Amino acid sequence: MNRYKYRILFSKTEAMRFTGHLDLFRAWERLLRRAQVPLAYSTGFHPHPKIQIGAALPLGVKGDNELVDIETAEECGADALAHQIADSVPPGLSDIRVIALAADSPGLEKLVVAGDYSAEPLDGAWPTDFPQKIELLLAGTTLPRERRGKTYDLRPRILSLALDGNQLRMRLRLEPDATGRPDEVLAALGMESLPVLVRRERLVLRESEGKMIGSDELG
Amino acid sequence: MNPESISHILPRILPQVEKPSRYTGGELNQSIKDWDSTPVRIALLFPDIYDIGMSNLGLAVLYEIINARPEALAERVYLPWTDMETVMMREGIPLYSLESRRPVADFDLVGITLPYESLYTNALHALHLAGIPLRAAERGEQHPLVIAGGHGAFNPEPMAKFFDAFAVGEGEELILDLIEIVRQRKHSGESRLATMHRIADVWGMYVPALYRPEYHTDGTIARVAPTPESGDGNQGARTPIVKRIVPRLPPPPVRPVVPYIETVHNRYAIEIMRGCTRGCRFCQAGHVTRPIRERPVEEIVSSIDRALSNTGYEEVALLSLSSSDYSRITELVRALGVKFGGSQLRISLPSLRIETVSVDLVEALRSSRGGNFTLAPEAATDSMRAILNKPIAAQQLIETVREIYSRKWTTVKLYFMIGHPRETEADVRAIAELARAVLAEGRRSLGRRAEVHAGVSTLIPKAHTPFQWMAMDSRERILAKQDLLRREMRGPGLKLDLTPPDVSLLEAELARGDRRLGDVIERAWQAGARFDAWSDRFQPGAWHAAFEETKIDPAFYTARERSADEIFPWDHINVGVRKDYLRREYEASLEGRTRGDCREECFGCGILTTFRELRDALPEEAQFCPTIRPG
Repeated sequence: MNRYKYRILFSKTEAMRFTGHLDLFRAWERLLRRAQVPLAYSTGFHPHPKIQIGAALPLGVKGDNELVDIETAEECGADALAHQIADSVPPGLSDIRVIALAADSPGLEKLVVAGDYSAEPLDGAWPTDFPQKIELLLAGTTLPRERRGKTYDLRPRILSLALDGNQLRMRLRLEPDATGRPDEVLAALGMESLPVLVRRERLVLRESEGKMIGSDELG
Repeated sequence: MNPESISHILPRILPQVEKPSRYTGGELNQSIKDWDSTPVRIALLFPDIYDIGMSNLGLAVLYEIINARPEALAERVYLPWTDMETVMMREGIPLYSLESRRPVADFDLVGITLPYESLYTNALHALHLAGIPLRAAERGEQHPLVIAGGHGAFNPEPMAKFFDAFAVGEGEELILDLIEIVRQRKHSGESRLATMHRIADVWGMYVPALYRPEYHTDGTIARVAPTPESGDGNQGARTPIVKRIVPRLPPPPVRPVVPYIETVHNRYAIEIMRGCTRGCRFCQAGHVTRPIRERPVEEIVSSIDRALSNTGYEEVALLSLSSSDYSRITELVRALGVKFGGSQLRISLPSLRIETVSVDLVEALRSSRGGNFTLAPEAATDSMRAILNKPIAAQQLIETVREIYSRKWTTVKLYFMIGHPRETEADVRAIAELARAVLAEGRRSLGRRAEVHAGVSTLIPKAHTPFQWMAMDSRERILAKQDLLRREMRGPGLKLDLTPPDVSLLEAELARGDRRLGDVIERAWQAGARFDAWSDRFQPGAWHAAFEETKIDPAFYTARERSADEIFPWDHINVGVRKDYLRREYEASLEGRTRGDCREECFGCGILTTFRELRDALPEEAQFCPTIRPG
């Protein structure tokens, strides 16, 4: 059976901000079914649609240039597919762009290595000693944290961290065994109780020969 | 608080609670209409959390009907889970609607569905969180009208103190009458009392404040009669209250709100048939939803098609009380196969009769292998099934099960009840024997992969059923029967699920109670009872204390075999089925006599005489109940 692969860029916005990874998968499946996209399904007792979402977005975090790969049983064409799904996009998803992929191109789990996040307080500004806290964190070589009863080192998962006006910008690793969570970084900076709006601006993908590319530069 | 301030606070507090999407709204197909230019504003409230309430079909039907009216809007309200409730209290946020985040108290009408009794304390809690006085008598001109519907309305008395009115029966047309009354009220500025009198005139509406129960010295009901001042001039309010029906099923919802998060039934549900002709004597739904009305095959298929393109659902449930009795079931299954075959759509067809043809039907709709097949024999011996009027030959059951396992369903779920009239220890033991016989069939086809899950609940003699006269099993008897089942049903491949006696007894007390029970419900709520349907939240202690403090004996409602002429708290609610018919059925039951399907022969239950004019006005193909031939 022929299979056709497409990579879709999208934003996850306010209405879906508090939905989890599985919910997002389901929303994509239903979106594609409404649009009558000829999805390919896995074989076996319980067929699943071939939909793969880039990297889980933590609950409450908005996302731009997020990625989902889908496989179809018929060739759709990137532009035609984008056009076909435009009317079926639910509240909470937007900015849909489609790229056609080669059938043998590697899956997102092999490509995504990091995410670029920005965080901003919902009310007012960061505390005045915030820059010093960031400096202190960056100066350390380890940053032991505890999550769900397990101790791990957050420091190597922070690739960069800097204040840009009122925006805290972070590049965090997004690999299966080493995921840096923005809420963990904020907690490590003593900001766990401050209402903050976090956004993932792009995913960072591995390109050939060790080069990296931002998901916003794809296509 | 106003919608703006609630919307301002939410993003600041939602990260602190579990499943925040329960509280945001904003899903696909939600309807937001302009508040200021829409005169009639209705909150549809399911008194449990979003995850449960979003799957309620009745409210989804009303939501679409109301929002299709230019003069009215409907928004959804669910209870917050305890973590969110704590945060809302701290921030001073009242119970609000998901669409526009309006406080519930700002609506003109709050419709609360009571599909089962274990939601009663939640309904009070919802009013409390909304800042609306719990008792109807304490509400003023500024408060919304608070109206209950759902199956709880068939015995409204236990909750009578808390509701301005009850909608008894089917809501599709009734809601339009209520919209018109509210519209006129807002136009004329008439008093709440005047509005309640007008609501009392609507077919199917019961305004409890206009009726007063009187009791005999032994505590039984003497009558529930209209108060002298309840009607116009010398005439009191109407009695009895005849339930509302729609003569033929209106088109189903085709644009339901699609939740973003997992809910109990996350699928498109469509009613293929309403009512039942089987007359199982324990079954309240089978009696209160009469007459039988079928939705045409073409309408079912085209509605599913439209709903799928509006929702993208990957699963459809065809709902009715007895799918096998849908007269064109084979044709329907074939039509669905033609239309949706190959589209990876899962179609579920629950409530099938125990016969091999049911297995063929489900097989034809099947999209994956393995899984469960559910059957509800209700009792394990032929004599008990005759008492229930659910005759299934033991051999037929075994043949059906053989067919199920041979087609690679690995688990058969069996539903039983204990506590039937004339039930002996042997009848209870037979449940275990039957479960083992079923498992043996499974082993023959599948070896050790075969499983049997038996769910055994306790019979609750519900209002408006032939069993309404009988005494329910006591706690001790239930426990003894359950112990026997536990002893007899051990071993690999067998799973037993028993309903705790306290849960069944409370359900029975609330289902069979009278107006005095209102005080008990309120006391229990004050003592912290809520989410009674959640096994980890249910607090029998709060209920025991509430009965003691109000000096009301719960056994009065459950433990007595009632005399033939006792007046029941629900007798002024007429569901169209006559009390003398129910009594005849009860007596037939005790003699082990069964009755057939009333599509073939009319047994005179009363539905036909109650709704004859409606029936005769329908085209012949849409008429409910069989034409009675003389002789």
